[in-house]
Amino acid sequence: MIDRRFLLKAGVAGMAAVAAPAVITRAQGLPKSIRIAGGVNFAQGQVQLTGYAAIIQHQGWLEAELGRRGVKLEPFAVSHKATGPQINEGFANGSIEFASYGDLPTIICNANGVQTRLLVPNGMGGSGDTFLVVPAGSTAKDVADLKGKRIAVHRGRPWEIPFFRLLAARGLSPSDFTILNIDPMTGAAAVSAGKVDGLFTMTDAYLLEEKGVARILWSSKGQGPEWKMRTEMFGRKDFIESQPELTQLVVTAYVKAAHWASDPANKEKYLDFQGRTGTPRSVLNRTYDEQGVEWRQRWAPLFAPDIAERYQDTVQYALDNKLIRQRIDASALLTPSFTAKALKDLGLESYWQGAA
Amino acid sequence: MPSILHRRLLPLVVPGLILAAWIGATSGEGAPLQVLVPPSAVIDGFNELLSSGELADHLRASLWRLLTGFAIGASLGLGFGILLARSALVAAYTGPFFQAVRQVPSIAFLPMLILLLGVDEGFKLAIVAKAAFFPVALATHDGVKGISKGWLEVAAIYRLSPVRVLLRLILPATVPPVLTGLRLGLTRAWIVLVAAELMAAENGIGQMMEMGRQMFRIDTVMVGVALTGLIGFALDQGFRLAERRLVRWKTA
Repeated sequence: MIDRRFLLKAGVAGMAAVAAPAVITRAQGLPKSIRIAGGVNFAQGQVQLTGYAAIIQHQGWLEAELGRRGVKLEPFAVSHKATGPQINEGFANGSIEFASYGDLPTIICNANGVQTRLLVPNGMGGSGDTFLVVPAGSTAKDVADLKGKRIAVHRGRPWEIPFFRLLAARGLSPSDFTILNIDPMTGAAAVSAGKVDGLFTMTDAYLLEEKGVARILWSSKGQGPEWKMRTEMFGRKDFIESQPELTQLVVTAYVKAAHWASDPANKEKYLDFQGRTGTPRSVLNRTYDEQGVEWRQRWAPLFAPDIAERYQDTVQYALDNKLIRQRIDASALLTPSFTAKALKDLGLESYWQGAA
Repeated sequence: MPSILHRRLLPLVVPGLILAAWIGATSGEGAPLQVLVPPSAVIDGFNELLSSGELADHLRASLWRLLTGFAIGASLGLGFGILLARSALVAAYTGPFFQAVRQVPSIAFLPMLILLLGVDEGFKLAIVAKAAFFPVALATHDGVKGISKGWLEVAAIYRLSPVRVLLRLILPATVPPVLTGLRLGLTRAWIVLVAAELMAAENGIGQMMEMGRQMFRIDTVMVGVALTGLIGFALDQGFRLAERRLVRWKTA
């Protein structure tokens, strides 16, 4: 009897330990480290920094500032296969503090009760284009020609919104197609092999076209911002509230990085960073070749007047398509004060057009 | 001596404790609902999926794939197992290859199958058939090999035709091991199917879970996990019951 009772007790204790909520440290002092996801990828078996993360590392300012306070800067690697879900899970269990990623996964995250705040709007240098590609041998000339066929798109990712917008603009609905929810890598393999009739994706479309396995049927290049995907830098709300000083350092580092990247003299170096994941230079050149918008302006970390509306639209889209159940106030996500202070501290208040 | 009631209740102890710990961990203030959703949310999620008809669609798609793929894989496995055991030539040509391919997890074939067969039903049926084929073929082979030499000699003396040998001797004698093989094949096929649907599908219970993850609906994911387990358990138990009925003569 004693044995059995002991076993039961031990079992309950063990299960309670396993099931116990992850304790989020809210020490008075500083955390041991700050973990930032986004621009940190697994490629060629190694963690590769690209985008803002690479510039921030190159500048070394944030690492030094944090180091003086005894805080480590830790890049948090995610896979292109599931960037949004991995970052949302990281915010939910408190394993990351900041992340650069898309608008739709952010809305999904917040609508499910994990609160984050938009700290720095990402310019991304104009790499937010979206594409519809078809197999190299396809005869389709327009998305309407794919009616009744199979199109792969990874659901819940930021390029889903331009895709559904494109269908609506052509008077089509998702039910006119067989929409397959496949991650970008599997989708690329499927479209190369002609096993799907279309793939909606981001700039990896150029790579597929360059390899000769697919053809770009439609792209957002040169079109209005509503056709591009939005990504920004977000922070976990409870962390921002408990560590405003550290948050300011991170935001300032992002604005510094945007300023560095916006200098045309640094463009080549930036493209070198972007090539770390193995993307050929020719693909990067096409990605960043955007007529009409000046290079400097593309990096503006500014809260554009329409940004709240844009996020409200994303919430509405997610509700209409039953991706989320409850409406959230998207304007509550916007937290421009840190970026405003960073611009002021760095003397960049009039550097970008449209800055307040 | 535990009573029958006692014995019936014992298997419920561990799930009950887990449920209690789960409720305990998710009730009260400050429980991180996003990391561990409470059981009530999972039940709500289940009802929502049920009333919208979404769950039925997913289940129908998955079970159709399972039964079709299993029927193909199991019949091929049955035939191949008999051939492998009865023909020295077949054994010489394919035996080692069969044993080697058997060691590769079905999931490892997924990327290749997607390239060959696409992301439609083809690759799912193929992977389910593959998962069912090997346990059934192996069990059939062992079952046929296990038939007493004496019985076969008697059949030879009576000059029974190969068809009669198959129908009257091999099939009845191999029922118990083959049933075990079928049971293993079916449950393994189910596991592999859910994994394949997680990767690429337009519907099915695995796809429901993957979409749940992407939409951060942990309740949907957990409904999927629970149903996958329950269906696998029901398939296994159903087969065990059938096994006991079909081989009653053995203990009699």
